[in-house]
Amino acid sequence: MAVDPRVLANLTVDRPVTLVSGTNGKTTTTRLIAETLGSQRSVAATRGANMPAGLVAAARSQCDELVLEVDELYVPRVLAETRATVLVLLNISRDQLDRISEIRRIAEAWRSAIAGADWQLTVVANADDPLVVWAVGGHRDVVWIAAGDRWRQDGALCPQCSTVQTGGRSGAAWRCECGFALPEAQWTFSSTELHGPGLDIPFHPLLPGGVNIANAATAVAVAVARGLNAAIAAAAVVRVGSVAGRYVVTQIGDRPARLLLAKNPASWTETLHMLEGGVSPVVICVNARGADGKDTSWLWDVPFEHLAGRCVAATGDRRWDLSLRLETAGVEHKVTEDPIAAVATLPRSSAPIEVVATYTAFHDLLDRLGVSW
Amino acid sequence: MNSAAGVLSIAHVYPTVLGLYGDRGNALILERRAAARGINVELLSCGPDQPIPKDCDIYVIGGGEDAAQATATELLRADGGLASAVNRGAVVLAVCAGLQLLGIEFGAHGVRTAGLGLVDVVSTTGDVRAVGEVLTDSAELPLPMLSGFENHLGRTVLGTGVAPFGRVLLGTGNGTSGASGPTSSPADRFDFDGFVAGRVVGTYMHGPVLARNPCFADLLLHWATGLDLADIDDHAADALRAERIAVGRASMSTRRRSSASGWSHRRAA
Repeated sequence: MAVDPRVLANLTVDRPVTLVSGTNGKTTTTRLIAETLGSQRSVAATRGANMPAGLVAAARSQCDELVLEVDELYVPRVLAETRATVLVLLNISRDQLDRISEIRRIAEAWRSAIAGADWQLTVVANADDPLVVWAVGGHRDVVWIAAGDRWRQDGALCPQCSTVQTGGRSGAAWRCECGFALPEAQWTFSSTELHGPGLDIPFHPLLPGGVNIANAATAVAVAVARGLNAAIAAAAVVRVGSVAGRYVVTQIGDRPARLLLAKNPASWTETLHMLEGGVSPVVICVNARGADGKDTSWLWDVPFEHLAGRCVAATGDRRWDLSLRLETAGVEHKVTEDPIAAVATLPRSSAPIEVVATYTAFHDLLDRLGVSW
Repeated sequence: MNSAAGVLSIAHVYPTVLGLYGDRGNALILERRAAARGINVELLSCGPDQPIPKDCDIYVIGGGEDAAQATATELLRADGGLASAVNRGAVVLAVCAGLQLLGIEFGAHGVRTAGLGLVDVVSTTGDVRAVGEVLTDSAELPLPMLSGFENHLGRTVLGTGVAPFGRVLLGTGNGTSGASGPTSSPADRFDFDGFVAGRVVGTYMHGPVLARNPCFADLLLHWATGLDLADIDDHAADALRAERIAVGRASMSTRRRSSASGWSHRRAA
């Protein structure tokens, strides 16, 4: 939908705006930031929408402050229109390549957008992602978070000089011969604690998985950049247990099931890490409609070998792509078109069945199961 | 097989640099299909900090972004292992950026980069990115219709003596046409996909191409081993292949209809 650029600009005049972008974690981090800022003032935020029309809808609210999720490709335009106070950059990795083509172009677009910001802009960014660090460039007002990056296949080359980096990506130790280096982070965390400038607090977010500790830590760093007390912000983020249907435990028939969204190799890598050690069956639903990306080749980048021994069902429009991938990974599985029908065919388990779906499949499931998002 | 130990060795070239579009799947499919026939198989993931072994049986090279392609080409040129293997007659599957870098020259954004010069093809960039399902008829090899997914700006011209891999039925492929036979009329002209030069096959088809076309994987394994390969349980691969070919054919007939109606519309106007 075409939206007059002045609409968003007019709606955001004289109101602090925080923009959140990245390949993965945008919706969750937007919600967590809204939760922290909302504990002190009135805040309007997007709830999964990240294209201009959705941003305008959120910005029409009369709240004091806005938190907007932005599609990666729209960051330059939305940053210029809103003259945002804070820009949060989470990560860049391969996703929907039929639409985005080359992920380096995202980093290039972000870099020139940030370089062109002629107002007071605070960038809150992942210090562990070389493409993000390169995109931030020489910007002065940056809050760095050691947010981690379990998926490393998109950081094999130095983003500055394109030479191969063989040392892997390990925080501030990562340094290229050309001089490009990862910065020291002001915010770090472990599985139990959050460390910020002059701050060490216990930190146990309800959301599962290491990636969500990173998202929650990012939200606290944004809140502090917006002048909030860190302890109050931390107390607000740890209470969030699900975001836009993600991580919700619901009933499918008479079985409890946990709903997870995974849509590219990086988010799948995090999801598989989250599932590790569990014994409950896993239903995977893969579509390749517009918002999923029409190319399913990425399934071959996902280390599905980790699911060997689990009880798995392959479902969705592209279940045969998935089935062949699982077969090649040595993962025994059933093939059923409908993910909800598949649940009934799986053995009972004490823990909820894990249902992992791509974007359109996930939203179909939410609608059919009556889960609000 | 080269190895005295009777092990089929597959080298996956620079997976972290040339592996953007899931082309790792090609190496995994070859490994699995060889193992299913009781062949001892070894899959070597060759990182850009290691030499490329000269004596593997099959080399698999994938696709990547422009900077990665240029960097990989320089590393492969300096290393020399892949060139020795090609000159020895090793089996090579090269996809997209991998296809281009084996050639004389490739280009992006006006910058010409010398390829490895192992195959007489020259690649440039077109104006429109080719993204979508591909169907081809095999032009040179004893293979049925092939299915893939392309995502590239490349336009590739084949030198004399280099055969096309496929005739494009749906999609763009090399984006350059040629006659389907020596006495062909304009109606017989096809866009080509990829090339076949001895046992080196290049294609623009991701998907990954060997996952969607197990017959092609088996042909590469046959070249490398000399064995006649027994049938294996291919129900998932067959279902995937049938589905993608049906989707491709439906898309072809939609295009025919829309181009026919476009023509009549112009006539009416």
